[in-house]
Amino acid sequence: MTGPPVAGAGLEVRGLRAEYGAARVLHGVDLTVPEGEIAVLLGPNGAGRTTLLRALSGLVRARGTATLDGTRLLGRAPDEIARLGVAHVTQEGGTFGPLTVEENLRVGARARPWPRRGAGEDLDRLFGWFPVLRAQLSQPAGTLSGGEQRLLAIARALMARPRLLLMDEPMRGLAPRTAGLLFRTIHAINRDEGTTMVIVEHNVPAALEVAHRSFLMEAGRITARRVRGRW
Amino acid sequence: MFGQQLLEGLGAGAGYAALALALVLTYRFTGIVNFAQGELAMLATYVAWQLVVSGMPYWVALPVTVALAFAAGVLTERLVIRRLESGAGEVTLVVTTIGLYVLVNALATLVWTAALRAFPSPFPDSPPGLAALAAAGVAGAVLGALALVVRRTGLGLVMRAVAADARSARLSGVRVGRVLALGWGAAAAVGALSGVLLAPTLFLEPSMMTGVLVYAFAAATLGGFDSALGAVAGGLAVGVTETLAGTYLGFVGADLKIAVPLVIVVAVLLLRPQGLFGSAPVERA
Amino acid sequence: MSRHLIRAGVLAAFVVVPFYLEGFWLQAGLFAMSAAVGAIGLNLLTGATGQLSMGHAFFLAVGAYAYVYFAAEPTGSLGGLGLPTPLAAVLAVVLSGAAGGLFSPIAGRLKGAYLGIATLALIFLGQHLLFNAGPVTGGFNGRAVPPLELFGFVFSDAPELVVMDVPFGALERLWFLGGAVLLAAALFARGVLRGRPGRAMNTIRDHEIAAGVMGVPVARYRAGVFVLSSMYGGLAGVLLALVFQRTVPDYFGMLLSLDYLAMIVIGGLGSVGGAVIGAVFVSLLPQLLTRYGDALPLVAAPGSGDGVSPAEAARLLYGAAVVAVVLFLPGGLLGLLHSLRRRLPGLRLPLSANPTPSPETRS
Repeated sequence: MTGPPVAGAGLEVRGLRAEYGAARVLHGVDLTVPEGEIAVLLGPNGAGRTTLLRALSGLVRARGTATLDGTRLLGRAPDEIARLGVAHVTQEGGTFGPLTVEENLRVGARARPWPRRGAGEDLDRLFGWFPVLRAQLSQPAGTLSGGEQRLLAIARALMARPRLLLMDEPMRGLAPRTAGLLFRTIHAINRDEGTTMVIVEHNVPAALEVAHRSFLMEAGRITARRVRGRW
Repeated sequence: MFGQQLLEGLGAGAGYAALALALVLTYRFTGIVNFAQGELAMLATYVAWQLVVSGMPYWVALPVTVALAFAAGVLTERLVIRRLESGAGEVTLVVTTIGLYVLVNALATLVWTAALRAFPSPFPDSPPGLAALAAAGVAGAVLGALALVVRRTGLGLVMRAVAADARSARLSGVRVGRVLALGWGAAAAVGALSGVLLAPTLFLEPSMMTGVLVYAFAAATLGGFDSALGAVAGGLAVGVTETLAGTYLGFVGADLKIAVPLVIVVAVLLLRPQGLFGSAPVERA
Repeated sequence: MSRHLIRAGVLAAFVVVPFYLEGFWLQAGLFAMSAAVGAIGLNLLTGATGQLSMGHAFFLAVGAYAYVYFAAEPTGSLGGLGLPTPLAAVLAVVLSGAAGGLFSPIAGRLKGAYLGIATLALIFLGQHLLFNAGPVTGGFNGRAVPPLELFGFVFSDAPELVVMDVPFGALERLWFLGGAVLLAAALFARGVLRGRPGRAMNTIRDHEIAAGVMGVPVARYRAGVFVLSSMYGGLAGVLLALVFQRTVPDYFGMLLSLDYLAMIVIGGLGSVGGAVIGAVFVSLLPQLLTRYGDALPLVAAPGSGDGVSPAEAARLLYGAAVVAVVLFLPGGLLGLLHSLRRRLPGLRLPLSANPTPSPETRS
């Protein structure tokens, strides 16, 4: 949502460093994403964008500072971070194959703090954004097409009503029409719900259309920033 | 005569099915084939025996034992398995369970000695076929209740999610550690059920479950190591096959009976590795 | 420099020991040497190549019983070929390898725990054969073992031999043979592990798919290592037979296979040194408990019914040791020695692991 930024609101990252074994991947990343904005991470493969998302969701141990609305993110287990309101849709997707579409979505609701509001109204909301899932409610998720599974993974993440949504190459491998639909949906969700988002994407033109701000990442550092309108 | 053999086979099969289900549960949750499953069941059976011999009625001792076994399973996961999970090779994982096997077996021998004992039957006055059927019925009821919990409740939903993809479950806010502990607890409880059901037919001694473990492996392999239903179906099939083969195939004497499940295992693994009900590659990626 | 000093010291101690130790300890030591040979073989298969085998005891049985059958003269109901004993020994090892070769197609197709379960079948098969093939194996009584005769020198108590005022019976003579065999076995295994085969084996263990992509003939290696491991098992079986002078079928059961797995884990997966340390630990433990069991509570004197037998107590301890090592000492006892070595830089140890002991990573 627009308005003067509240101190501490949104995502704040300072001096984030991370390594895989002996190899340092993040060399001190600084970025800020005000609450309610969509930020896009651009850059070449191997720049560390996926690692950055993983550091934020707790899959990778990192040092430095990362806070969401003032709450510390680093040093916590992934499920704890998820319950704090961070949802991460990974590159691999991560649907629960043997579970039905509906069951997949209900698992997503587990991250919500108690008391969990009725899942029913949320399902309707989600089907409004992803109508294709409504028809396949009782099918095992593993039988859906790759694109539909991607949408399911994102829908599941949204079931948690996250404050921060992290998405790693959500459009990869999607047919152009589905990809376009997905981006319009992301834009609508952000507009209606005010969810802060960080998206890693290769499709630069589409990404820049929805982004409030973008970051260029190279070799583990942020090398350029743009707030809509200016580099 | 055939009917009685069939009933006996089903009765034994129910015991194998329970242990096979225990194996499948630990495999689905933690990806480990637990060679110690039978020994944990044996330990639980000794506890049950101790309770009954000290005066507790059978039908009270049984749920108490199962509850204790559940707790033991949770403890094992917390203390041993959880410490292992990051960065251990597959051989190490299996050998750890083998270490537990040896440890638990020796522990039982230490406490109760290797003397053979008779385990009281819950239905002492019934003919063996009927007793077997009743035992199978009890097992069926318990497993059915378990299946209901898994299919219909939120807890069961979360367990199935963790079994399918633990990392995504974590990212969805599920406390995966608790679920795993629960899974091992449930496996130990089901294993205890297996031991107690089979004890009246086998003699109670520290190595009583070694043979059963082999049968349970055969059952789980036949059914598909990632299918609970397969484990149960496989267990019944193995039980019936073993009993019938022992009676009707002359050359399959007492000591060669153990070859039946082993032949099943090797045949299944060579012809259809995922078993009857399992889903494709059963190897760890 | 000090490394060579320590090696010389160990060698000197080894030569001197039979003059001073009594029969019980000599036998225990020989038993440990045979276990070490077997453990080195299992380590090549399971530690270095990642193929879990619970059937190792089978190949020990093949080696032991084949030696007896080849070397013994037929007497009464027991058959035998009466071959010269060194030839019998060699043939026994070859036969073990052949048995491994027969099983290797199955071993090649199965992975992980499934291979473990299938190799379990070998144990049961072996037990059935040992108990029932009376004319060859002597059934549950087992058979007496013909002593080894090498260039006229007999490895038994007769003819009498006195060296420096010490009577040299079978155990004293076998001591040196055992040491020589162990040394040769260890050096050969180390050579395999340090060379290209060793690296290929480790790659198969850690990244099998990558190994295939890199051009390693995975199936051939797995079959080959299985055969090699079986031959080591057979050799250990021959040694065992010579030391105990009697083969008994009960011994070659599942628990023996588990003993060997415990040895390579406790000692340190993937290295020759680890296998030897683990073998010494696991095989000497019951002997120590037997000898000094009276001083410990709970451990029964052999034959009595109270408490737990030394063998059981030993199992309890090494079962716990396996779990403890896996949780707290991933490199096994050898790893512990190495980390001690790092902390005390002046101390050089003669045992050296091969370059890549099991790194213990899950992909």
